[in-house]
Amino acid sequence: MGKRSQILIIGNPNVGKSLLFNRLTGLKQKVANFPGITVEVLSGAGEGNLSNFDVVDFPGLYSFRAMSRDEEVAIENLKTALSTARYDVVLCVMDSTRLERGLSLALHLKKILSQTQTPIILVSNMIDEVIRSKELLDVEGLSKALDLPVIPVSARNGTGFERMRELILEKSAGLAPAVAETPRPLDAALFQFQPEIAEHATGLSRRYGPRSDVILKTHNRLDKVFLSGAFGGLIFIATMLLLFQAIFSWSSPLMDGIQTLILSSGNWSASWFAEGPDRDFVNEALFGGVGSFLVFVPQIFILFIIIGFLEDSGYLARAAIISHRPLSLFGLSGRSFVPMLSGFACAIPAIMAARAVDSPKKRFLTILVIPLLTCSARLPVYGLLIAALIPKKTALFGLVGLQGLVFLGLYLFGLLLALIVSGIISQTSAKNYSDTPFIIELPPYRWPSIKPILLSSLGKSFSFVKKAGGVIFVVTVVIWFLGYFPDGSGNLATSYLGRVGHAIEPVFSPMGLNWKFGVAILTSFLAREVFVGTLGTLYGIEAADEHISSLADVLKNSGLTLASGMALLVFYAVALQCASTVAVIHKETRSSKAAIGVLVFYSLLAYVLGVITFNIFA
Amino acid sequence: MRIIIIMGDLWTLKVNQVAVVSGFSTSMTEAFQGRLSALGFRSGQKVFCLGETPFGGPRIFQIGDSVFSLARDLARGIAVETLEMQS
Repeated sequence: MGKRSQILIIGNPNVGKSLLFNRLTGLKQKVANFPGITVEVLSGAGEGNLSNFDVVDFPGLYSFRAMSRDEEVAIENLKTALSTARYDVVLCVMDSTRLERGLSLALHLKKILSQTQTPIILVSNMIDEVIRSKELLDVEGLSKALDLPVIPVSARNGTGFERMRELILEKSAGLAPAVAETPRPLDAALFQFQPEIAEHATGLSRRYGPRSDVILKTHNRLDKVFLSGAFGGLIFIATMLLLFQAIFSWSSPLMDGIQTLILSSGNWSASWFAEGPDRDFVNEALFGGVGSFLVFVPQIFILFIIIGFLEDSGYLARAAIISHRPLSLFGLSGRSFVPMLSGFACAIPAIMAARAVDSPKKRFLTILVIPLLTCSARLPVYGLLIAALIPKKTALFGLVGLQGLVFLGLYLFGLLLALIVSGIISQTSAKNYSDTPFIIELPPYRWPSIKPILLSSLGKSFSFVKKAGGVIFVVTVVIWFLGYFPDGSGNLATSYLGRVGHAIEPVFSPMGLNWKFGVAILTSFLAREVFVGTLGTLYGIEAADEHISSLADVLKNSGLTLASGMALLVFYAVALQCASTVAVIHKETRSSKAAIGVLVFYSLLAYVLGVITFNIFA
Repeated sequence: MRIIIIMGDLWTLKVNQVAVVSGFSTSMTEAFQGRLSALGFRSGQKVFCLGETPFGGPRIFQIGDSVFSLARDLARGIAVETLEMQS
């Protein structure tokens, strides 16, 4: 098999490189209208007439000069790639609506790559927005002035892609496929920022590009509303309230539907078996355990949709600006806002997204506090306990529900605790980390495309179910076996699990919890969502005669008190019960001390706060 | 009537006021100066203050064809000149 050809994608942050990469490779890399969304080098095989190519997408950069140590690593990687690897074509992507910095990077790249004679194609993305603003981009004039091919494209709707693909083939046709050559580092002086290049780019942009005042007019008008003193603050608070209320209220019909489906499927499946262990296994382990987790997936789906909508609209960058001042009081930055908001969906990508926080100190703090935010894995636990403990009362003509308010309270509790922890650590152990000031580019406002958001949210929800479902299935089956045997009668008290549960009961009795909850907590230390499946299996075993019924109803009738329920909620709001999160903290901080420290500290804090909560409510 | 040049920093700009960047504070590190230059904050460039944000947060500035939000500590490090009419 011959060597494959290589395409390298470079450009400023938020110019649509990831969308371009996805269109060329058919992959589904995360895209958003927020600078710095790509945090690592991505690679994928080209599609269609580029199937002989590998496409490499580098994180966006403003110049070859780093502001922090982490950025330095990323830029050094790119410099090494440009110096030592031979790329067949470099695609320099720029935003057609704001050409200045894109052209500056393109001119700089042209100078660097003239040393290796690597062909560059200048991809002027977002041409649809220039057309919509009734402005012009003089493609021919710009191409002549730069002595480079310029292709106007829209990575959003695919305009110009055919021509771009042809040009890639043309440019690489005369070259032998890329081969690893003996490293011959380029002169370091070539990468220095050169003001004359920037001045030249400004001149070219004004001469050949669209009029920025016309393009920015609408965005600046909208910013006068969304970022204005009082009104902007109110919109921000209302948006956040809507987000959290929607997770609980909007997902209700879907959750009810799934619950009905699981109940009827469970009863139907069980009817195929004669009474005995087989029937009990299907009823309790499969539909009682795994089914009780699936009921909560709609909440996760709604959360992903809303975050996707806010990201694509450009509002998240504004929210980051509004939240900068309040967050900075706790040692964080406005740039921490997006990773923290993502933390409400899942801590793992959120911790990785913290790479967009350019200050090493604030990045470290952001990583440490993300596990305290209510991730989607906590939703099944909260949903179950709230449904079991809090009555379904409504106010304001049914718009605000009591259960939704308790939900919001738990989110706020996690957030408040995260801020307090950050404030304390920023004054103590984070002092050794260097700091950089806050600057962020405002992306344009855009109408989000509903279809990609729905597809992406569905994909993420399925991936969550796939990832967590495997663990939950294994744990619930093991729990069922331990709870059903050795006597095979389903008598929990004399089962293996009963014996383990009774042995650890004294640990959880200060929170007023019986041994079954102790077992559920213990089994959920790998992944917290296992809690619901375990309880489903445990109470399914006990309620086997009544067939499957709603787990919340079973818990309600089992004697779980409000004090114990609140203690459990607080425990789950704080404890770091996610092995993958611990692993990603270790990877991102490159410190096992930080990862283990966070795990131990949050577990102890969760226990202490759980006991205090029980005593307050008792 | 005469026109006078007022020297200040970016944070002193009022909303809707235009200024010209004249340099950086000596306390600003070279790395920050480099980044700001790459973003367009270079001597002689026109900068426009678009607005303030809630809770006394960062302010919004347009430079060239881009809009940025800068926190107080960074904006204080960018020297600007404004023109004023004095009778």
